[in-house]
Amino acid sequence: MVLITLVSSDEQNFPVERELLKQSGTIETLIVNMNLDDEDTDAAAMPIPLPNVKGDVLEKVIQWMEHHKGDPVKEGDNEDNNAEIVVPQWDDDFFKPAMYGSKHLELTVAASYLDIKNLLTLSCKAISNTFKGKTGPQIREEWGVPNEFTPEEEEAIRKENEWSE
Amino acid sequence: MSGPLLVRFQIGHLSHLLDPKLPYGHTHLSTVFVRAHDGEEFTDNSFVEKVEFHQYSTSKLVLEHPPFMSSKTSNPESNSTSYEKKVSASIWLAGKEYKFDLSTVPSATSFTTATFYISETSQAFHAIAIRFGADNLVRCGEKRFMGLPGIVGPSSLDSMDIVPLEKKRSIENFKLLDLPNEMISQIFSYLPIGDRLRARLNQKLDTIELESKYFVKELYIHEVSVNDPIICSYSGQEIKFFKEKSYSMDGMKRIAKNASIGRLELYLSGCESVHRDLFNTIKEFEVQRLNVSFVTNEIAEAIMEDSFFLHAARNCKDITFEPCPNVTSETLFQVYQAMMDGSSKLRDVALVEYKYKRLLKSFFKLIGIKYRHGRFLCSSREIEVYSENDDEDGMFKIFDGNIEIHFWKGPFIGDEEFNIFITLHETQKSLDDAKNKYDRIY
Repeated sequence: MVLITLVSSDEQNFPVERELLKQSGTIETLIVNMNLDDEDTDAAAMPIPLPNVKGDVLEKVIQWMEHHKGDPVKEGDNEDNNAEIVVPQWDDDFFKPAMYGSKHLELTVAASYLDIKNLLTLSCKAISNTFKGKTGPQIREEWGVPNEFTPEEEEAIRKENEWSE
Repeated sequence: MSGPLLVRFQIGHLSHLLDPKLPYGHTHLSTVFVRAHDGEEFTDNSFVEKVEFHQYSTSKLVLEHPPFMSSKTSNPESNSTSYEKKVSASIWLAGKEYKFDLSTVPSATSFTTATFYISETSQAFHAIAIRFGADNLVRCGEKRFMGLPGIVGPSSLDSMDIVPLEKKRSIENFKLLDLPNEMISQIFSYLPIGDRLRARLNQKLDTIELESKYFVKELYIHEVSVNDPIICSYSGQEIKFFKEKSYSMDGMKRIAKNASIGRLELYLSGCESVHRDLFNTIKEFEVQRLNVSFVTNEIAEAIMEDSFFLHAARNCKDITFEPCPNVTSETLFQVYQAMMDGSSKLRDVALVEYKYKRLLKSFFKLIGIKYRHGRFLCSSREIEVYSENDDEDGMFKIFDGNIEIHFWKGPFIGDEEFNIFITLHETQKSLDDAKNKYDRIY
């Protein structure tokens, strides 16, 4: 089993099975460009630095990739399916402890940076699920969104939203 | 002064091995560049004033003019054995230097995205930066950005503004609003319309909502009463409005602006101003399949117009009107011709309870079909007529090329109201299937 070492922004080393990394477009490109798949390349001696991902976040990303090893990547954004994407139970439990917090958001940003499509989709979907059926004040509280609207703007929005009550 | 910004650039620092070698032992072609976050080259100095690439403290490359790009051959071995270490790029924005360390970026990457945090800017610069894709930040949360990975502050800022690298850990207050706009837009795309509109909780979220398109597979719009709220088990999304309340059409226009609807079903139970306004707003929606139901014929007669029918026929793939009292035969023929010559994307038309027998007859006359004494007479050889067995209540099917018109035999036997369906068959198989089990009578 070939191991590739990923280095987080805080210089932690993560040896990861080569196969898992196919899920990340960014890392896959690096592996190919650095010739790490060549037999005469000593992959262990060439760690991949990921200056945009912190260690604790990278650890979660790897954990997620391990669970989803071999999953097919859905190509192309089929907009028809947006509303129908379901977050599987395992993923829901995976995101839950971090929900409403910076951890989940950092994980989402990392998924985007590392180009892990399925993780980005599920993570965004899980965030969107926390909005469902909530009132404005509840969402503000949970996600720390300050209210900058003037009373007039707020009234205009409230009036527009009446359609969807 | 204007609020803080996050500005992103693509910084390129490629080095290709040359084959064959050039004179002076030059073995590499190095290319460096600074581009806008989306990869666009700059064409003037309004945003980026100057770019410098530094290698160690000795070698410096200054790029003062767009497109801020340079290629040159070199012999890296002659300089040092550890080429591409300690490389940095400096970008001047509004007179300040923003430095980005490239040492940790693998040399194999074609470019890296550098994100700079700019705490205070002039309004003029702010406007330019936004134009080049900078993210506007919420003032109250600016400090925490310093801790995010990959984000560095301007090198000329004083120490109060920069959190040292060692402290850039476990920042617990990364907020939803700190996500890039396109990610928030993706999150919004998963929300049902109501939740999506409610999620517009500040200017940034409101702007993102306004600027991103989304798809709604099925939408049902109908009126209910406070005293008699209909519980509907509709599988798609639902917008219900109350008889007793007044509504601003702005909200519906806001939905129409960005929502692309797979199937829109509108159920109108009155002909007051709210119904008329709503009906007219439907024109602003992008809809593939439109189904309009009027509770009574009177409401349909009061609201439905030829212009609406034409508009829907031009923009939808599939339209149904139920009932459909006042569409003229000329209008129907116009729509029919557009289907025939392929100038519309319309595939299916259903007019339920199309009321006037004479309209159908004059429509058929326009196509070139006459019906007399139980027999069809067609002016074109292309036209074929099929009948469903000998059943008096069955259907007639008329085929004009690959268009099928089918309707119950009723109107020719004496009923007042009937349904008419027009279908464009896109394949021969679908056309053959439609004729199957029917007897050709003309």
